[in-house]
Formats: sequence, C-alpha cells, structure tokens
Amino acid sequence: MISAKIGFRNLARNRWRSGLTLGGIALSVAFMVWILGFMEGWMGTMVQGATAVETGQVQVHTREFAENPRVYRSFPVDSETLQTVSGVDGVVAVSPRVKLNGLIGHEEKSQVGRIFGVDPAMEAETTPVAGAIQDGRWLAQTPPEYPEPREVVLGSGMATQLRVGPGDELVVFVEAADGSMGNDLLQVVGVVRTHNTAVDRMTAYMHIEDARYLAALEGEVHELAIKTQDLLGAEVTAGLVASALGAETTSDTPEGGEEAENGDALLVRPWQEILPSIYQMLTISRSSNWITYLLIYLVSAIGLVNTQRMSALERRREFGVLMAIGMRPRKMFRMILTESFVLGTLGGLIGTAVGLAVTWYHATAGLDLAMFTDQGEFTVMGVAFTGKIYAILTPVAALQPVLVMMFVAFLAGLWPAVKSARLDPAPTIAGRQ
Amino acid sequence: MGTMTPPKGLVPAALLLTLGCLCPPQVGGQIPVPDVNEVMDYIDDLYRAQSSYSRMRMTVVRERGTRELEMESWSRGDDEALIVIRSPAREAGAATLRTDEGLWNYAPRADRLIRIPTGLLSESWMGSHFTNDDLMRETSYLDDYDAELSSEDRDGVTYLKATLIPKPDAPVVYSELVFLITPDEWVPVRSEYYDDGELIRVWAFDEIQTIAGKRIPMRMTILPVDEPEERTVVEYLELELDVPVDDQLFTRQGLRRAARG
Repeated sequence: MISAKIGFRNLARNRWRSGLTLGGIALSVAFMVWILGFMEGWMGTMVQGATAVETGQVQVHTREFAENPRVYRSFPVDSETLQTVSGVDGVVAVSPRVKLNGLIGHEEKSQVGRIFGVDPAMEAETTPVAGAIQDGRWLAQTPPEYPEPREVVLGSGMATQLRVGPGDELVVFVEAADGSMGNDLLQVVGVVRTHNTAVDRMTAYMHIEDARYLAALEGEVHELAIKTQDLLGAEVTAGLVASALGAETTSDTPEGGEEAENGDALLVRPWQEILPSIYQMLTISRSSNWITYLLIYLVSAIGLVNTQRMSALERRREFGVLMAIGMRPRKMFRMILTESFVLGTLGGLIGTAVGLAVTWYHATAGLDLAMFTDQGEFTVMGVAFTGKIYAILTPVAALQPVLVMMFVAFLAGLWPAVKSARLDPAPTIAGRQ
Repeated sequence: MGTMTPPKGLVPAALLLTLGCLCPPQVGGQIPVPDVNEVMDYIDDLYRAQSSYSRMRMTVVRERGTRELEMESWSRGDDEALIVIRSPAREAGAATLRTDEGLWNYAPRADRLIRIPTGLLSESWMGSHFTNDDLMRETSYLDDYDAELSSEDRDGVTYLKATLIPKPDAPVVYSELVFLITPDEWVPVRSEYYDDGELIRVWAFDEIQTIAGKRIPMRMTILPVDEPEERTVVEYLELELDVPVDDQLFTRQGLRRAARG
C-alpha cells in the first residue's frame, strides 16, 4: 500500500508531465472506445441492411435451389411447417416465399426482374419491407378478385426505371415450373425503398398466391426467410430450425459424396453462409481493430515509457538513498510499476468516460456520413447508406480499451522499474552513476 | 431485298477453286462465284421472302420434360413479323410482334403488350432453346455480321462455309457464327454458334422441300452444347412464301385480333 501512496505522490510531483501523459492515454482509450462503438454500429447496419430485407438471417431452400435456383426447385409448405419454424427458439418470424425471374414492364419499357411472391403479413413481420413503403401501400392480405389486376409492389429503382408509380399497370412474363410462360396483368400498389440495392433495383413483390398461379407452383415455395432474435446467433438458430424440420445444414454435407446427396432435401443456412462476403468483411473488421489498438496504444506506451524513465532518472539519488536505508529492490520495482499502472488506469478510466460520452452521442444522434459524399447516399456491398450511422455501445467497447490499456501500462512500466530496481546505491548517491 | 434465285448447277469443283482465297472471281469463264453478300442475303430471307405465312410445331425437350407448342406466324419485308401460340391452352394467344420500332410480347391474360429490350434478344423465346432473335430475326446476317466464305468437307460432302463475325455494335452475344450451306442450292444444313471460341449451340436443318422455287429445310433442331439431353425442334407444318398478308396485322390491334382468333 505504501508503494501506491508513494507512487501517487511521485506522480503529483511533476503534474505537468504526468498530466500530459495521462491526457495522451485518455485520448487513446477514448478513441478506441469510439472506434469499437462505431465499427459495431457500422457492421450492424451493414449486416442488417444486407440481411433484413432480402434474405432474413436464416433461410431454408432445397439443396438444389441453394446451389442453382430454378423455378421448379421448390418444396411444399403447409401452415404446420410454418408453425414449427416459428416455434423454434430464437426465431422471431418466418416468411414463405416464391422467387421468380421474369420480364416486367409495359409497351414502352420493360426490365428483367425478380419477383418475390410473399404472404403480405408474414413478410411484413419478417422483414422491414412494409415499413419501407415510399409511395402507395403494401400488398393487401387477400388478393383482389379476378379479373382485377394482381397487386404488385416495386422496388424504387425499378419503378423509376419503368417510369411507373401506384395505379399504373404492368405486364409480367415468367418461366413457370412446367416450362410454360406464365403471364399476367399487374397493378402497382406501392413502391418500396429499402436501401438494399438488389431489392430496390430489381425486385417486385406479389402476393404468394398470385405468384404461385403465375408460375404453376400450387402450394409450393422456394424459400423460407427467417428473422432471428440475434444477428450473430443466426448460426445457432439455423441449427435448431434444421433439427425441427428434419432438414440439413451445410455441415451435414458428406465430403465428396455427391451421389448420396438428395437435391430435394431441405437445407438451412444462416446469413453467414448465404452472404459470405459480408461475414468475411465483419470478421476482417473485427480483427483489424487489433491493428488500430496496436497503432494507437503504441504511441501511448512510448509516451508512458518515456515519462517513467525520465522521472526515475530524475529521482535516481532519492532511490539510491531509499535503497541505502534498506528498501528492497523488489519493492522499488513494485513502486515504479505502480506509478505507470496508476497512470494507465487513471487515463484509461478518464478516456473510457470521454469515449463513452462521445459514442453515446453518436449512438443516439447518429454520425452523419453524408458530409463525406455529395450524393447523400453511398453503397457498400449492396447496402445503401443514406448518411447516418448509429454507433452501438457494447460491453466490449466500454471495457476492452481500458483493460488493454492497463495491460499496456504494466508492460510500459517494466523497463523503467527494472532499471530502478537494479540501482547500485553507493555510486548512485555519489552521483557517479 | 427481293427473293434471290440460287444459281443452280454450280460446279462444285470450280467453287472449291474460287472460295476463300484471293483468286479472281471467275475461273475459266464459268458460272459466277457466289458473292458472300448475296449468299447471306439469301439466307436472311430464306424463310420470309417478301412476305410469308407459316404454321409450326415446336417441341421443347428439357431435362424435366417435353412440351409441344403450335404456332402461327406471319412476316412481311425484313422488319415485320408476328408469331402467335395456338396451343396448349395455357399459353394459347401468347404472341410476339416485331415491327421496325421494336419487339413486343403479348400477354393474353393481361391483354397487354410488353416491350422486349434489345438486351434480351439472346434470351430464350417462350422457354425454348430458341432466342427471341432466332425467331424474330431482329439481327441480319448481312447487316450485323462480317461474313467470309470458304469451303469445308463434312462427312464426305463439300459445303459452302460462311463464317460470320458480328460487327462491333451489333446486338449479338456470339463471338462467331458458322453456316454450312450446300454449294448448289444454297440450303443451310447446319449452323454453329460460338462464344469466345467455344461452341455453345448447334442448329441442324433437314427435311428439305421446295417452296416457291426455293429449297427450304422444313425442320430445325437446336442443340445446346452444355445440355446434351435437351433440344428444341421446330417443324414447319405449313409454309407459304410471297403470299398476301394483311397490312394491319403488324400493329397492336392486328396482333390482338390475330392472338384471339
């Protein structure tokens, strides 16, 4: 305890120097807190943007469809199956989908697009699409009576491309499961802007029953899109869904046993497998945090070593006297080490407080990235960022930087402490060393 | 462009000497050597002449099953054509219209037309192995390709070989197209489509008949190279060339009338 007391007193002796070192440490820690919080927010937005609208966090397909999507590679789904999936731990909602490719347009313009045949209510629970309506409304739960045109909701980019809006009619041609060409008359009821590029530019939503009729897929779906409670825990949820359905996960694939593989078997995959590029980016950015640590903390550590070594050199005679009257080297070592540890901890705590305050501000008010672009929107890996990124305060962001700093401070104190502990009292007091 | 009469009785040996080389266009004062533009123009117009009417049966053999369509088709000049599917019931009335303004599909359920963008010319026509361009002939062998004639022996028979390289801005996805044509009557027997030097599909022509003085294969088979089990066969059940065709047929109204008929 006495060493801590002396340590504090020593630090107070040169307030200016200690304060500057403390400030440097605090700044580094604050910066790391903010970086971690910001990266978490960025990655969250990224994963959310990539999975929320288009894929959900877990998907079920037939194995063949997962490998090569074709209109006939569908599977039957009844309400019981959907109930089973909804009941799985970690599943928030499930949406059965028919996915078609076709030509959508009118006499003047047309475009190849994807058609998602969805149950309007279930899709709205699973994805934020219904809330992303920019113009018009979401699909009605009951399709209109024939010969009324079928309802369709278009992605905003597609609506712009085709120059249509709510109320306008469209024609759709798709290849049906029996090889024939399905065609129908559509009426645009809404336009969505989801900030998922693929959805906004090339996707049209129809009622699942209309899509089934169009593609001759009675009672069938191509995909179950599942929303999970936890973004990162999607892998676990996928495993649970697979066992509930008696389906397979990718890890069940027999090595090289393509003969044994059943193409009709259901395959459950989390977003990490469906969107490997996004997952890789997430993993890479997580590990790149350690590089940031290295760079930022190295600067602080050098400052700390410098401070400690300087102050130890200044007090050399003092230390000589202390040793001469019987202070053991070990105690001397501990005293110096404590000084730097105290500096690191104190700076770390101040930095954490400052960092948390700034991060909290960006977590609530958001950080406007639009100022870096003149378009008001930029797209990274198919996810459109419209400007504000909201940082996320995680326990890791709050605790890791200060803990790492304490460790760094301990390391930085070692060399000056060893040097001081090895002092030879007599020549030091005499000023000969 | 009118109907060309093939130069009958062309001597194959003389042809061999003159093809694909820088030899003078005439050898020993014999029959004129085929001019590459003349040949390509002839092939371009083989099935349509000044105007045409036909009934066709299309059989699409896919890995997952076979389906059979019957269609009626009209054409006039180089730019106007109409194909209407008559059976099966699910697709009856679906039609494709080509005018000098572009290409449209007609959706009978919707009773609407949808424009087919130029980018989709090479996409499948109504789920067959034919492309929109194959049937509607938006591109022209004469105008969209640089052609070169040579001769080639296949199975002991000497054919005219036309090698077509698309012009830079032609809406064509192939890197090269090869036609094998009989040297005497200019009947196509086979065409090969290459993409980046790789053969991707083959057309075979057979069941040759004489229609309006031209020797015309009444059956075409498309074989996609990467799907050896699959093919699409089109047989002409009826083909009339240079017949009168209603002026109004190649309009939206005319199409509707024809599609419902």
